[in-house]
Amino acid sequence: MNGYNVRMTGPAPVTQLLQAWSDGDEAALAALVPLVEAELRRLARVYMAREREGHTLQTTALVNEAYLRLVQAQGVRWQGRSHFLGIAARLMRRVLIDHARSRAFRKRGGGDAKVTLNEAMLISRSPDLDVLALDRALDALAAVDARKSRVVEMRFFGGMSVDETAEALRVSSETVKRDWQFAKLWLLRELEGHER
Amino acid sequence: MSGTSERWQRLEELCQAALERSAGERAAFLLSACGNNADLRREIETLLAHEDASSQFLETPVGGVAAHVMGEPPSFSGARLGPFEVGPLLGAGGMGEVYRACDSNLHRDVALKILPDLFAVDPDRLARFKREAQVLASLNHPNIAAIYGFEEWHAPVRPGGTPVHALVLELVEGPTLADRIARGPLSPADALPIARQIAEALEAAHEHGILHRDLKPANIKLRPDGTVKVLDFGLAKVWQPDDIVGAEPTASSTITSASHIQKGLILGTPAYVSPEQAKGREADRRSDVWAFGAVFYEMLSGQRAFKGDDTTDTLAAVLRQDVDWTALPASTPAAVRRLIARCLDRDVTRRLRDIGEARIVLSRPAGSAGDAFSDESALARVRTVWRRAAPAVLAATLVGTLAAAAAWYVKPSPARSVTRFPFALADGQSITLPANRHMIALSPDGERMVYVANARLYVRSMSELDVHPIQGTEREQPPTDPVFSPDGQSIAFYAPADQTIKRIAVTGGVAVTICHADIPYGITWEEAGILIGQGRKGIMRVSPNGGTPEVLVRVKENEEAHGPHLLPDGQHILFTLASGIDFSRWDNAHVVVQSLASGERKALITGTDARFATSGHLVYALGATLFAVPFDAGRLVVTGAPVPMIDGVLRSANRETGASHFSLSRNGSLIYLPGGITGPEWGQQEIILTDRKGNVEPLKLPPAQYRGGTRASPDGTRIAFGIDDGHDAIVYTYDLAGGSPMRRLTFGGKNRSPIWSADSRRVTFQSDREGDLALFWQAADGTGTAERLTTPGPGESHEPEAWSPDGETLLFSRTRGTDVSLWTLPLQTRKAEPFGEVHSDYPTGARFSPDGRWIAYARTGQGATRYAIYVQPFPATGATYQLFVKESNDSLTNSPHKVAWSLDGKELFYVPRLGGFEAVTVTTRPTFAFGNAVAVPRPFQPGAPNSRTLYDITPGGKFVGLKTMPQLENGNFTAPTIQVVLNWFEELNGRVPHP
Repeated sequence: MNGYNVRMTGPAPVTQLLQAWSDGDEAALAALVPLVEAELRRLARVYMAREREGHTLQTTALVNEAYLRLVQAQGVRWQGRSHFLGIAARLMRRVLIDHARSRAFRKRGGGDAKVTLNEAMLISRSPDLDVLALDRALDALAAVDARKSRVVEMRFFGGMSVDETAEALRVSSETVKRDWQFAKLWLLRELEGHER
Repeated sequence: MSGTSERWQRLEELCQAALERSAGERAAFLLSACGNNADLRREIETLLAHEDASSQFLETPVGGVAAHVMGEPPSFSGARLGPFEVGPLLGAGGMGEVYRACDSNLHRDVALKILPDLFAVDPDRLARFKREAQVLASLNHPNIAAIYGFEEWHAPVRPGGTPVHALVLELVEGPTLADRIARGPLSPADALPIARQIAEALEAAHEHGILHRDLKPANIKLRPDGTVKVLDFGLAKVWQPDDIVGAEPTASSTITSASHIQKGLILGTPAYVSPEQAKGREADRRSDVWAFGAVFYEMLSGQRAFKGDDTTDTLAAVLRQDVDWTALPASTPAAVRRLIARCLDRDVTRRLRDIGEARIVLSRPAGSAGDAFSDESALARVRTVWRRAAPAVLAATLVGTLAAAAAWYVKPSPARSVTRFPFALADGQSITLPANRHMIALSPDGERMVYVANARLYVRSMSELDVHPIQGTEREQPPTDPVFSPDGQSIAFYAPADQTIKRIAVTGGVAVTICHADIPYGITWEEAGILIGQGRKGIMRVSPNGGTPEVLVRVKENEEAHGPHLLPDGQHILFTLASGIDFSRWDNAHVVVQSLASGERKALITGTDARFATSGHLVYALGATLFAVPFDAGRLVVTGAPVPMIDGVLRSANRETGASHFSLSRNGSLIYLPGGITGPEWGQQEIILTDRKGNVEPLKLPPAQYRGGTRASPDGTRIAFGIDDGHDAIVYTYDLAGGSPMRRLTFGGKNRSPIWSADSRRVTFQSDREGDLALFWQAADGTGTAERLTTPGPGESHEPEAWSPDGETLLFSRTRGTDVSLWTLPLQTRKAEPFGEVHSDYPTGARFSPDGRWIAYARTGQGATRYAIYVQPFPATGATYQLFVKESNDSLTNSPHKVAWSLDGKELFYVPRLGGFEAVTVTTRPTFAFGNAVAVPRPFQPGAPNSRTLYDITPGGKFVGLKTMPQLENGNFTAPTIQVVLNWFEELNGRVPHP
């Protein structure tokens, strides 16, 4: 009924959904994402409130706390943390892209304006990165090599480590490193092509 | 991961292999590896070319940014706000976000302009905006996009409970004129009809005394059917100075801030503001004329009349640059050229005086435009006519505001749209609600409303925006149950002091006693007399001229009657009947109708406080929801299913009567008090002193957002506190003896969490004034400047906790990420050291014992969100004493936190679980030990688990703390707004059709 009024019925369904998803049930993901998003948003607001009172915000802590609350609140032991992080990474990407689009809207009254991370938000050490272009490039990458696109999503948007990414994707850490390196080269070339 | 092509795999393989080789070897490697596939080789080379750049690329994750974004209020798309189903975002800017939405009540699509949060925290600005929006809503012209209303929703719409405010606007399909011009200049044949419609829109608005102030192509919509709609009339003005401006001050963004121009306030968009506005002078109608000229020029030429790289440049062009007339197409009629030139005359006195002149020029038959207006005298004639008409126009402008509001109110017709506005009470006024009595009423003709505020009656005429107190109604005990006479000239009300019903003229005078009565269960003034609900005594009727009331309706011993109304036939009485003494009796009450002749009674529907609407409906309340049901007043039967109409109408608060706080006029308007069953919630707090028994003594401080908590000075004379309203965070001090207002201590930066030094002469606080979140201290009397005490490392913040009683050591918290640790700062060395290895996920609220030998604090376990309370000796020895609190059954709420020492150091106060408060005895010899705990009344808020401790103990032995408004004291709420819905019957007829 209301997008931000998702009521959590308890942690059990989340655990089951995560289990189902990691067992290969893609439909479970669709059900899971809104639950995770609601919790992340709720926590983010709590964190933001604290930040306003003089604290700083960290994603990893945020995602970890969401995970603990959703999955382990009732003492359920479950090994799907990395999958959870993967979902969070996808959410983070979507949230950022949506935000950048609305920035673009503000900037040009619509259309596909370039929005750099710096503008999109304020804090980044890659100020020249056009996030919307990166998003499109990632989609293009996914079309030829879905895993590499996921690796970038997890590493860059989700802040996941190589090992976490490897666990989530069920590949070796070595593979993640190689995917990461190659994907970056490919994306750079893709982005460069767009700028021209 | 399948589906990667063979070529792709080969590409990656070779690329990886090349990367493992040194730069010098690569070329040879690729040549041999790719063989004759030069394409592949070149592609690998282009990839490898980015190797250097890739070492930094994407290496800094942006999850933190996303976390920030998520922490922001979410988009409203997909949400439901009142009757509105919110659709996609149409646009966003400084004035908030605009969404497409569907009004499910009226089944029409609208545009919802949701105001930024800032509005919610600035009541003055909000009130002004509402008033202005009300006037703007009176503009009713085919070329002006209508304002349908102003809406306000409270939690849980937006997390955190911030109210959401939105303008409901006409949704106009089609591109903007800016979109159209971007495709190229318009031919004169295309541009003229557009310009004429813009002129007509401006003319209509000017006649109402309303200026656009921000006319530009982006504010003009072109509907596919050729109609032009001008958007955002007057909004630039009601938008106020300290607004957020868009991402950057481009030449196309609306200036809503004075920050770019030091002197004077400019509203508008640089490329279209008039020279006088650019100089910071007040805009008048001729400023709109200028903008019209600039827009017209741009339509024909395809370029801006005044251009600049940035705001300053553009404004300079407006002030000095000559317009390039050669850019207008040769086919432009001479009259049109002259018209534009006259609009763009920098000399206001020579500029086209009235947009009506432009309209007349442009209304000429298209074929004659070219020639007729080469005849200068024609234009001169027109001008003369308008000059002569000027006084009338001026008069209309002067009274425009009032007249507009009046016209908009008193002429309801089927074509009128439903318009909603919250009417905000004037500063210092608040509706007094002895919870269960009606406190607002609308006159039968809908022209006036009466309400009880500040213990007297006020009347607001709808045709004016002013409110008048009714002289002669001020009472020590507030009057209740005001109702209008059928002719709207008098008001009857109940005076609790002498238990009488009185009447008084709307214009004031002497209140005349009509009769003695018990506290009313609703009053109505009908042609047939005044009806008074009397609960267990049934319903009485009395002549408005006085006399003894007669019993009209009797009820059984266990029944109560509320809210009598006569049906139009004058023969039947409608009221609410409840039975029993149960708390929920009014929830299960029935709306009944009874024949005056036979006494025959008939239950109609479950609900309370029904009114007969002349649209042929019963309108009644069920809980805090207003329902309507079609009703055949002739046959006395409900003829359809009830439909919930409005959620959140305040009802009898402790459910003693069936009162629901709404009133209908005969001509279809509605007013009501927004709220629920338990009353409204406002986000402000007040500072109170309480004793151990829970007796409350409020301080003479205004309600505010005292987020940083309060601390008492060790000498007992003052308190220090922070006010953080989302804009500013300021530390204040206040003299407990009263007599002087609170004193602002900090200037510059955001300053929070004040604590006193041991000698009460200084206040230590956190401040971001120098960029980091460091600790500063400053003389409490405001003299001198703040001095820095600590220097946090990158990503760290410091928060003061307490000074040791000897004044030598400052205890503070350091937050890094999610880790909060305790530190001490000896005043001598100024070298911070960690204390006692205390780490927590949330604030610890650490405090020194009065003898300075112990530190009590609360901390969470690793990764856990529950607190436990500990005491360590100071200086730390490694010994730690944990307080074990008796746990309640609901384990989730067990989280002891928020400690404070008693003055003698023999007790420790704390919050054992949500909602509780206790004191436990402590002994320190031979070793530290906790004794017994007892519950302590706690009328104040100690602070949420994840926030700072908000209370303190004064040397006088009292608690100083915060109490959240509203005050539900003696069952009285205060309400700051009355919701007005004009032409509500339109909606009623639409949603609750008759069979």
